Amino acid sequence: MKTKSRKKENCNGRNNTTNSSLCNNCGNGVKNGNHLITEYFPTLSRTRRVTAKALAAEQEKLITYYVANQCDPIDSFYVVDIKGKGKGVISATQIPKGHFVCEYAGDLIKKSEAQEREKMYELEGKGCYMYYFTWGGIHWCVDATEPSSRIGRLINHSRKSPNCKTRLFIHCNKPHLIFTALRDIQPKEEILYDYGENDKTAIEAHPWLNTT
Amino acid sequence: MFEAKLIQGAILKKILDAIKDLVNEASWDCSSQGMSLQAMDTSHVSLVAVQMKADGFDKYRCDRSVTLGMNLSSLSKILKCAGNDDTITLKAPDDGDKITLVFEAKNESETSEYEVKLMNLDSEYLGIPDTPYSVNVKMPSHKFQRICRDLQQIGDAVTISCAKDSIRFAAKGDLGSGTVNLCQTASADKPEDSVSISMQEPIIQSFALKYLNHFAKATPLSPQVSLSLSPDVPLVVEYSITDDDGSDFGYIRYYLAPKIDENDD
Repeated sequence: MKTKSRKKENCNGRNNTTNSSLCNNCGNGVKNGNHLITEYFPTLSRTRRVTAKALAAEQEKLITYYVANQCDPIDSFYVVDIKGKGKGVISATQIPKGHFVCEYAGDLIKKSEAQEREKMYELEGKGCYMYYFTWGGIHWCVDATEPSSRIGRLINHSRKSPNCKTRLFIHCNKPHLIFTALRDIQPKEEILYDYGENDKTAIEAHPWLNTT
Repeated sequence: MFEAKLIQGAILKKILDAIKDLVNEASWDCSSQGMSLQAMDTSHVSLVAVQMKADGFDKYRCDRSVTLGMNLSSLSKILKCAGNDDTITLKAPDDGDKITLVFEAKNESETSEYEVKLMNLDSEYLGIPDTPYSVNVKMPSHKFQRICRDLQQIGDAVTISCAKDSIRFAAKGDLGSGTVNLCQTASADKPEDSVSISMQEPIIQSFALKYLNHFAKATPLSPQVSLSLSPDVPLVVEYSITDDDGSDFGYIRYYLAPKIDENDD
């Protein structure tokens, strides 16, 4: 269970370079006193008959890039203050279904250490950013309590209408938690996923876990 | 699985020679109909479209349509390893990231196999309207090649004008000017040497010679070239591809946007 604390965050990750290779010569401009062929023939959207396998491989490559470089595709998002929720992450672009959103980045620790840290955070009155999961028969936790430039920890919860889900991504023999789009996400939509809290006392203490 | 076998492998070599300097990377669209390619040069002034019909191949199998994106100069380099009399077979599995080329020498037990990496290319696809043209000219391809080469010595652009039964290519530059006039000729004995002109309305339009000289690299593919022009639309330069038996295999069509008329605003 994670509750949001309100801290100033600045996102200064690396730039997303995957979409910047647009051609410079398109459009209705002229080149060396010559008309362009595109002035006469309409551009049709090319149906790229790329196999599903090739698409998936492209996604894996992209995820590996962000996970390995410990950064987020920050051009695709902005972080805003949302009334009653604290920080939230809004999509700046369209994200197709199944595509990578960002990583839930933090310290990868075992459950035992996580529980100790949780007690400590509780005493310090810090918000909880622990994400528990199982991998290879061991209970792990990604602790994102420490403020960082990463946006994954700022994503809010929704049980009723999430648009992302978490997925395990193994890189260099270490598990990483990443978010992928459950459906096509439109620009200006808030990124939401189900925190997956089933503990009754936690839900009683934070009814929004069930009602949002 | 995609597999295409061509006994006259030299045709494929010639096709690549005709497009590799104009377009660096392009995607072959392979379907049960055949292989085709459409690509613009980097400056987006010209467009090349290649079509090779399935039944022109000696063996053709394409279970599912595939797009084979590749670097054309890499493909051309590999095709240079094939002899002119070699049989060439192209193979690509449905989900592979490579295309395999197999060269078999004629009457020899030698086969060689090469692989070219495929890539995902985000290319634009242009819709080419199927319109009638005001002027259609058929002429010997080597003559067209020579005219383009000669006139590039004079200037950067050629003005093509057509009136009655003659076509005129003119260039102007710092050193002077040059014109070449071709009249309609009918040669019953050697149809490949004939010049035929059909004209609905007279035309005058200028084009950059640099591109026409690129197009002329397709000359070895066909003894005749066809030029189609209409006012204010791209010029079409077409070479039909035929095999040794003379049966139709496909075409290479080049489209070239006209020069901007200096009198225009």
